Amino acid sequence: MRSCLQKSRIDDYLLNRMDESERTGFEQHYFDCAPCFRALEKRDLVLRAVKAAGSPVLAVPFESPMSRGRRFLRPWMAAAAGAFLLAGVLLGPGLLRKPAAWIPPTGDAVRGGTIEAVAPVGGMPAAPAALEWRPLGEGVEYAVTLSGPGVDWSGRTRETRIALPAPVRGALRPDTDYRWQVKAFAPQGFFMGTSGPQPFRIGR
Amino acid sequence: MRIRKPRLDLDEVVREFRPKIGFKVRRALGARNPDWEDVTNEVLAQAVEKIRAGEFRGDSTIGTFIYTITVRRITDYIRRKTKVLKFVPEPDTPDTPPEHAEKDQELKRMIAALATLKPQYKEVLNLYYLMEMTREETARRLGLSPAKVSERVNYAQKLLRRKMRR
Repeated sequence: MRSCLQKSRIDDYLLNRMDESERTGFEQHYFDCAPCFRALEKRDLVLRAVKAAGSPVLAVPFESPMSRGRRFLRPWMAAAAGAFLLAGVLLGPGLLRKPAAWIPPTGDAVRGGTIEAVAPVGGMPAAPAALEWRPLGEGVEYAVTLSGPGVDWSGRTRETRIALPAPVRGALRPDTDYRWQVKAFAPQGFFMGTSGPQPFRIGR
Repeated sequence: MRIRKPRLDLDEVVREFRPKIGFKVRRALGARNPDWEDVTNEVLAQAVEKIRAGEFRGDSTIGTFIYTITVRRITDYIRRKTKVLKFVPEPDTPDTPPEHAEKDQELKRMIAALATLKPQYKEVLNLYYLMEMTREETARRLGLSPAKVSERVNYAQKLLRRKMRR
């Protein structure tokens, strides 16, 4: 058996939103109508519980419109979104990384030992008279190169130092970047190691 | 012509109307008023007495007859109490009688059920019942239609009853 009163009317009564005549009519009705009185009692219990519970029970944390949208996500949607995010995390750094600066190929593979460069390295007060490095072994032949704007020189020696010819030295300009490199070769001619490119700059 | 008086089962009358009278009296006097049950019993006793005396002639429904007695008795109580309160301080509210323990238990279970509702139902009950916003105000606040608010309140009630039966 269903209540013949609308539930909104029951709420209006319980929340004191009726005037005197409406309230009297409503009360006379539920005195005569058992289903309506049962509906009224049920609604009253909910209202009393809400009032007794108060905000601590009913407070809902603020939800942004975006998080409200999450309620409508189906499981497969969430799974697809998760897979997409995972792919982004794994591939993203590779896709977003800045391309490496292009370095002209030298034809050298860096292998073997490393030669420690001594001078020149970094800033120099004047054009260097020689290039110097640490020895890599006995009987080693060193091939040295120096390059930069307007300069492209190379030389060979069995020492751990090589003097720059006067024309090369004279070609070095202040406030200009240059690089030099030394490679070591065994007596049989095979490659032993390199210093790697060593930048230097001549100050004014 | 003789008027046939309606035949009433008085036990049935008491069984049916005690909760209704009690509900009306509690609303009129306040649920925390310790006198509400005495007033309810007085209304019932008066109604039974009047029915036995043949004062209920069937001109109205039995509900309207008892409702009228209830309203008069409540008015008397309030008038008398107002006079008494001029001289006597209000007594402390006594402890809950044992017969009300079941009702209290029901309320506690309902509160526990409220805590388990989904946020969408909690927020509508919070605005509509606790903050006493109208259906339209609640609808505006939640970005719903007024019909949707009613639907959620009704469904929340259904969920609560279901949770309480478990």
